[in-house]
Amino acid sequence: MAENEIFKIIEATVVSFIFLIAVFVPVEKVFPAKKNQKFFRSKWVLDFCFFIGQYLVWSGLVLWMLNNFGDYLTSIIPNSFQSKIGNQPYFLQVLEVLILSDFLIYWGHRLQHNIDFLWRFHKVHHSAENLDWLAAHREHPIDTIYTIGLINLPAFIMGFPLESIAGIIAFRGIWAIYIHSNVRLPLGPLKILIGAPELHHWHHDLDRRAGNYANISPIMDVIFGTYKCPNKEPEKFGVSEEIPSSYLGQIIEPLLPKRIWNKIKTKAQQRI
Amino acid sequence: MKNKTIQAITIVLFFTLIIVFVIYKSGLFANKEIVNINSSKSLTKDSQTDTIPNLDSILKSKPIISSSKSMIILDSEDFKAIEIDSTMLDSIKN
Repeated sequence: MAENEIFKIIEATVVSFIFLIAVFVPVEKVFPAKKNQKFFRSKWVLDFCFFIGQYLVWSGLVLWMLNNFGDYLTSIIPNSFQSKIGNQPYFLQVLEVLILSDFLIYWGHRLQHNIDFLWRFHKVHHSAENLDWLAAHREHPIDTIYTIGLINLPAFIMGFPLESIAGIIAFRGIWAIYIHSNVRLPLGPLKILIGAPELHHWHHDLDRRAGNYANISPIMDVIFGTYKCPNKEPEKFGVSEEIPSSYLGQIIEPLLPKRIWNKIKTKAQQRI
Repeated sequence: MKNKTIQAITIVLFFTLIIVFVIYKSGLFANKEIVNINSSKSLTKDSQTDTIPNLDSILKSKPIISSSKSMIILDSEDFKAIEIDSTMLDSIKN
């Protein structure tokens, strides 16, 4: 990769970081969910490492894998099926893509909390003890590939041109960061249609099976009985199990069998 | 009163930035065309049957706002980069 291209990626990362600060920091200051939480709260650097890692390293790898996955799906799905889908009215296709991806992400996410193998990657995201817009980026790359694969699956299968709903997708992306922010700004009756931090904060409660698994709209949670919205903030966020405190530790630990990880940990402790 | 004004300004700023971002990603600024990885694939399907997107070109892509809870959309420039790399790979193979 040429020097110029590396510079462009770094530039885009810096622009994104500044933009996200401009969007979320004022609203976190004026409508805080946890009033005493500062901008540079504990583990800020760790979450910043995840942010940088996601933008500079992992997003490229995720896109590459997703592209290959999409190619593979296209090769096995009959063209006649995709043209039948494509002949439906446009608004119906949009509805199908959004509802199916919400359905898949709901169940995929619920499985992440119930199946130990998936949880070992997903718990990295839940290990954040302070929630804000930056903590939304704490995510293991394997977890990201799983989530993005699921959310894109209906569009891949249907052969749906996602560029035609680019605005909706962009909204979904930024709203997913918003629901992690340290904000308490009740949406009133709208909260049944669009997720809000007050709901997602409960998903990050210490309880591994706390509910609120839906992506943007909480409707799936309502339908499947996992909707939870008490009129207060959870006391604590995070996970009840032990998790490495460093960036590399959180990336490597889920990839290794427990036995090997424990050996590495013991050796490292002996050195200290 | 002062607090209410600050709250109102903050909410307006928050939603304005989100709306501007959504409009930007929709490609409405500068009439910029946006394609996603899925549709780019279908576009290349007929003309290049055995192309392999090069990792390099995808690594060059620069998505503004990286979120796993979002579907993937690339800018048209990124798509062009993928196409060029694929064509180059084909030429090398031939």
